Amino acid sequence: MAAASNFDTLKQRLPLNEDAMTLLHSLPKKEREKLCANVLSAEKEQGERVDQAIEGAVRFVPAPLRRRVRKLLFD
Amino acid sequence: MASLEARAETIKLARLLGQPQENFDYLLEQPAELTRAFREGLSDALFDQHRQGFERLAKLSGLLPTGITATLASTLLGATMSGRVAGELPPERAVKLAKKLDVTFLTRVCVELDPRRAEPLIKQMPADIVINVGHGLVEREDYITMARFVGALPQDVLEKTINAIESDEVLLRVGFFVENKSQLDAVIRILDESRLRGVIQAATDHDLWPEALSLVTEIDDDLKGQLGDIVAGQDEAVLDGLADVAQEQQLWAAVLIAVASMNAENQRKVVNLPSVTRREVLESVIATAHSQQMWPQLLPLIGLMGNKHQQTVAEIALEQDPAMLDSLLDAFTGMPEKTQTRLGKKAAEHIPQKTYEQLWGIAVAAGRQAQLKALDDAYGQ
Repeated sequence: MAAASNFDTLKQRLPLNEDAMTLLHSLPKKEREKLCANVLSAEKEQGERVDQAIEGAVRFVPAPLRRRVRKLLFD
Repeated sequence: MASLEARAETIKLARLLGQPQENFDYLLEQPAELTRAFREGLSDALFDQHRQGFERLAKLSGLLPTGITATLASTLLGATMSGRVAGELPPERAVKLAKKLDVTFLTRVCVELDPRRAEPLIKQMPADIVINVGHGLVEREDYITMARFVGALPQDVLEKTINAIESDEVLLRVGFFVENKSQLDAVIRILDESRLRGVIQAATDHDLWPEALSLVTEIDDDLKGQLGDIVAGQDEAVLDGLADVAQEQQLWAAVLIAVASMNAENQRKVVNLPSVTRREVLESVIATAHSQQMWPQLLPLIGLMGNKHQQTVAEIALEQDPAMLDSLLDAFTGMPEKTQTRLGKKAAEHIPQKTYEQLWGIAVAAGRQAQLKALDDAYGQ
């Protein structure tokens, strides 16, 4: 089975509004794939950085309070 | 050649994706508005994708003392993440936090901030912080980011910030990148006459005529007239330079808008400049008037030209295809009767009978001879 294109993956992972999609539709396939790959990579990186930032930020909370803070943030 | 707007949009998109701008060179030939719509939609989508994470970080910062949050922002989160989280903070807290952060870091956060999302925060930011960040952005030559904030700042803070920027060149460059051109009026109205002269001088000194002309086309008519007259007041050598740039980069539509807004004396001066009345320039101007439907702006200006130049214009017009002459006739007959009569008389004074007869022949072929009444009267037909 052929691998999904970056464009298809992007449409599934990060739905964009119609106005934003106009650029993707107007690009030649090769460039569209390149742009979608860049977006997917930025999206993945942002997710990882957010998770790392939350973990790191919780460590700024005094140790005895961390469990309560986690509960407050994630429940 | 890529437009300056397309280049600015490509830079903004590259920043959003955290990549070097040359990775997106293939977007330079795309219309700037498409890239902008993509960037804005993408910024919203990326934010929504991790909204919960940003909200958690904002909530967590509310549980910590401001000083510790400032350390957290500048050491752990970094400018990009801080820029995303800032919009989620209550504005009062964001202001307190900004006061604890050093200007270099705040400037970097500002580059990452989406002004659409952070508007409540920006509106409450004290003028001194905004001015300091503004200086930081000037140092980085980041006119694009400065321009993005023009619409979000309250008028009094905008005024103080603009007055704190000493360089007229910076003002011109920032003005060019302002996204919502209606906000340009607010900026230009802050500037006094001498500052406006400085901005126009900066266009000459730093080869920024395309940027300056782009501003002139976007602003209110009274400001167009004011800026247009300042342009017309420049030395002939400066105006010749402007004409050369306009010819080289085909900026005649913007020039026509600027000249049409000048007072009659300045219009007469500009349309009779040797650099403007060269045949190849007049051909470009006429082609622009046709392709951009700007005959209504051009016809009255032709009326102010010397007879030799009017004749050249008439000769060029007669060499054009019928579609162009049709649009010229449309514009002529669309003018008030008085104007038609005045222009007809002018034409009869300066343009030979033979040229008029050629035009009449074309009008007859197009079945539009009745529409040449003002010219017929003037030529005594």
